[in-house]
Amino acid sequence: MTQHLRTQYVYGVLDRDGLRGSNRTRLGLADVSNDDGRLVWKQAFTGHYPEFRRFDLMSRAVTMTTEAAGLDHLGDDQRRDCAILLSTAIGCLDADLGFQASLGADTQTASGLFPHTLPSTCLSSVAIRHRLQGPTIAWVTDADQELLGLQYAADLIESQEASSALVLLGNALSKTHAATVGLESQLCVAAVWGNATTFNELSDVVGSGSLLTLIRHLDAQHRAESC
Amino acid sequence: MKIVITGVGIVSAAGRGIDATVDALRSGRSGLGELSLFESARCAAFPVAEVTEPIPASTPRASALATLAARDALSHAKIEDPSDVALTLGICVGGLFESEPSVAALVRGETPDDSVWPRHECAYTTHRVARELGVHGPALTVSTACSSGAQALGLASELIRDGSATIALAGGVDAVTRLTFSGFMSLLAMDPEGCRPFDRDRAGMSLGEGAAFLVLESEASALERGVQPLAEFAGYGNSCDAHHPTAPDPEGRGAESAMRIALTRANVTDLSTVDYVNAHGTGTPDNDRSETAALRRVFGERVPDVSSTKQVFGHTLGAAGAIEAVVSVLTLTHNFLPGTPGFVTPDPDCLIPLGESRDARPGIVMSNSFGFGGNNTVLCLRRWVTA
Repeated sequence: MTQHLRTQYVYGVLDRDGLRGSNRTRLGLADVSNDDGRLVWKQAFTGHYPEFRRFDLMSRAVTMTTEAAGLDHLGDDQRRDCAILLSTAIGCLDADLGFQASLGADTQTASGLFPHTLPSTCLSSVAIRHRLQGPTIAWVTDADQELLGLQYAADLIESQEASSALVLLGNALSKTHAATVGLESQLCVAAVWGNATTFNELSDVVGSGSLLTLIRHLDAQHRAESC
Repeated sequence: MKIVITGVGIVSAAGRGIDATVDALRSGRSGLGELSLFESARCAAFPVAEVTEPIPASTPRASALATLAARDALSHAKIEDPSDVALTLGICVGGLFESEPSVAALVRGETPDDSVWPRHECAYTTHRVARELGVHGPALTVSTACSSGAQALGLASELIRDGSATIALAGGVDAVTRLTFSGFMSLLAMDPEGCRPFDRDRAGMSLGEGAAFLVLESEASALERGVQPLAEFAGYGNSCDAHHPTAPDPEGRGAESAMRIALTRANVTDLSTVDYVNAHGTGTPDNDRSETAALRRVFGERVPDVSSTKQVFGHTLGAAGAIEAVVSVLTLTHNFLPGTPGFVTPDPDCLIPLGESRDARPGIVMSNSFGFGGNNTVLCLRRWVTA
């Protein structure tokens, strides 16, 4: 594993405090969701994104978080080989429950939800949005494996298989399902690693903390700079 | 570093082990039959490739299938103490075979059997296999839809290459479930007559279940252990279509990219040395057309022999990439190319696959695996020769 790669990041976070990111997004959870807790694109960002309404919760969460990180600076060449790496503990449980509920109802709802019963589908939602065509991997991880995405990102960049990597940590459950199965409702973070426009530089983060620690550090720093 | 494959294990509708698998592939025997795993009049309208090997009822089905194949692979590779071995598993459905009654109960507002939740998530299967076999090295669970099994192999090769493991046990598994059946039915993606890859009249896929594992290690490690490699794991490629949540890029650009990366990493400079491609070949109209386009973009006029073995095994989702990697190894060790059961009539928009198996001595073979969301993984294997 690479320990001292000079790295540059942008970041995004969606958690119980709301949506924040390098592109100066600062919104509370109520500002980005409707009364049912459903994430709504137009409440967070300007511009129309019609595909968004077809997404399940996990795809909505990671797409919004990535948008808050901001990938506009990535050039076409970087998009062509930008990796997307997701670590998730609860995977697609929310979509599993939603799909099961849709069975016996209308076929259209079921067919729309079925692709989301795979942990990796949210990756394609982000890939399509930002035209990212590099390696994509989703890991169903334990709590102590959060670093996996960062480690693999470092390897991919070092071996020049990717010039950038979008590293995601995502666990999302809708209000209803969270209450039912008793798990944390929403947590989603994203970081672009590697050859990206500078938001900040941390040369020794890999190996010294989790992705969540990294993101929270960047978030705190950004908040301080914004004050 | 040259990475080699020193053991394989497989359990599928074709049977358990190498002999049963080679026999099914050589004879072109379909693994499709009537659904018996659960009762459902709607699902029973479609043939399915079920494993008939006895499975211990006390073990979750996916875990049991994976453990069988993984144990066979370790034994084949002559590994008696696997405690330091790394484990990478590709899986889509996880423990849903056992948990879906609880999911349904939960949705109906009834009290579910909560004891199944720990076994619901994909990572449970990985840990269960590790526990059953006494594997204590790094254990990773990959879930990238139908490319998961192939992706797990690529990841295992990286663990060996970067020194995280000396030996890795890599594979894939999935069991047939009601939810999967219902999902593909809702997408109108299944063929009631059984899958017919690359055929003009193809109308979709057929589901299957199974597990396969391969043992990967450096050539130096294998030779030091006194084990003769079965094949060289020459390279792999991974890409994303960034096109559509379920449909492949019609021009196959993502698949093309993954194939080119795999060939580059395998140091294949002369494309005419690629002798065989085990296609993803699901039998859906879109997949087979797109895969044809991708193969033609890579190989031009001289596309190697191609076949799809999906009717032998069904589409085993998270296991497919690993099962087809085993098939690819067997072409090298048993000197034959499998045919494409179900293929009868050529489609002008598709390549013409090998209809029936034939004897051959391939040197370099590729295995394509493509998943929902445009996840593409391609493996490149080479006949192992003594230096």
